[in-house]
Amino acid sequence: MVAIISLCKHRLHEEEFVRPVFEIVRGDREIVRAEDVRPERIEHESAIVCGTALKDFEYLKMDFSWLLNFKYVLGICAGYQVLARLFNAELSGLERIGVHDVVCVRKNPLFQDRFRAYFLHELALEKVPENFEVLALCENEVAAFRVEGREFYGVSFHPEVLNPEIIERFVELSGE
Amino acid sequence: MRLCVLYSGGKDSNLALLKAVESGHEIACLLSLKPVSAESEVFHFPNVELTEMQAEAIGVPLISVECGDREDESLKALREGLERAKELGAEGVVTGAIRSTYQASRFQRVCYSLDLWCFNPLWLRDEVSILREVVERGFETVIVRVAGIDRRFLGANLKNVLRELSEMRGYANPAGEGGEYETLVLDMPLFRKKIVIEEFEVVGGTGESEGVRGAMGVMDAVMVVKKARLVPKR
Repeated sequence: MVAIISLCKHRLHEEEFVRPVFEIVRGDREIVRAEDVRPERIEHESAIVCGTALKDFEYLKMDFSWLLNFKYVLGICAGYQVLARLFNAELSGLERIGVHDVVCVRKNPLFQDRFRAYFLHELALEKVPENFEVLALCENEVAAFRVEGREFYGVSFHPEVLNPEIIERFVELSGE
Repeated sequence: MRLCVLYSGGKDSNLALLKAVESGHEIACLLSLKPVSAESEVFHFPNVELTEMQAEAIGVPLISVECGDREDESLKALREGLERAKELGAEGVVTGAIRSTYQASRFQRVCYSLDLWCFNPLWLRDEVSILREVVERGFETVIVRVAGIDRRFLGANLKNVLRELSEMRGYANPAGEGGEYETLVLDMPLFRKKIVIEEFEVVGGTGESEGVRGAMGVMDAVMVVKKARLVPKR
């Protein structure tokens, strides 16, 4: 089962950032609000940590060490930021709103070549620590990364908008 | 949170409004952008005056801002309207955007620059599921403009043409987000009174050359409400 993690402070935002991901995953999945996660009760192997609104930064105050209990994690936008912080990568103030080109720079199971993606954030990575593999770039921004030695992926854009196949491939990869 | 709803008076903005209220938010005001050019007013926003009646039916203030056709003019009007909404205590904006990244990015940028929260509760919804939901939830909705779909849909109550609109998938957007049609909500659960249309006329939709729009070459046609009133609901 895939845990679809909501970081949204306001439940109304789940209609915008969580429901679309839930609809793409199909199969066995459930939506869990981050503050409701009980680490000792995690039974899922995979998690998708969804994005949230531009003005929402509540999640940056929370502890996400429980994500290490999952085997496969896909962090979307705010979820990418959560993974970055969990592995001590430094986020920069980098506002990006709208559709932009993304270029794949390293072979990976989720995407390839060049594609258009929808962005909505004001924080992202410009550089990564040694234990991160940069998978894609959008100008000077790390648009996608993998944490070395783990099946943890972060994408700074919202694949649910223009690239649902990325979410589908992640679910396939995790064997769900 | 107190919210401003970007309000066209159609099914999507009304459903977005209903979802915001059901999530426990309070509506500070509705914001309606009113085109000043005659062509735009007649063909794209035929019944913009009715938003005043809708706001009265809901019991919330309406901010109405005139805007030109150009991109920069409509953005300026949106910004001006949202600044006024902030004066009424709005901390965020609700839109009925479904799939247009162009429209969504525009709203997000303006909200970001004004330090407003932005809510798009219909974002990426299946278009047919939206049609079904508004019908199932008791919205009384009429089609008031067609462009690219058959003129006979004009004036139809959505609940009577739901199946036909759903079957358009594949060659037209069943929710009309591509401009295939526009709707006017006469009643929905938040309305304390409902709107009754007493007199209307149909403009356009004949001839061959003027106002052709849409893949099927069907003429633009609009139903302009000449007279309407609010009546108590039973």
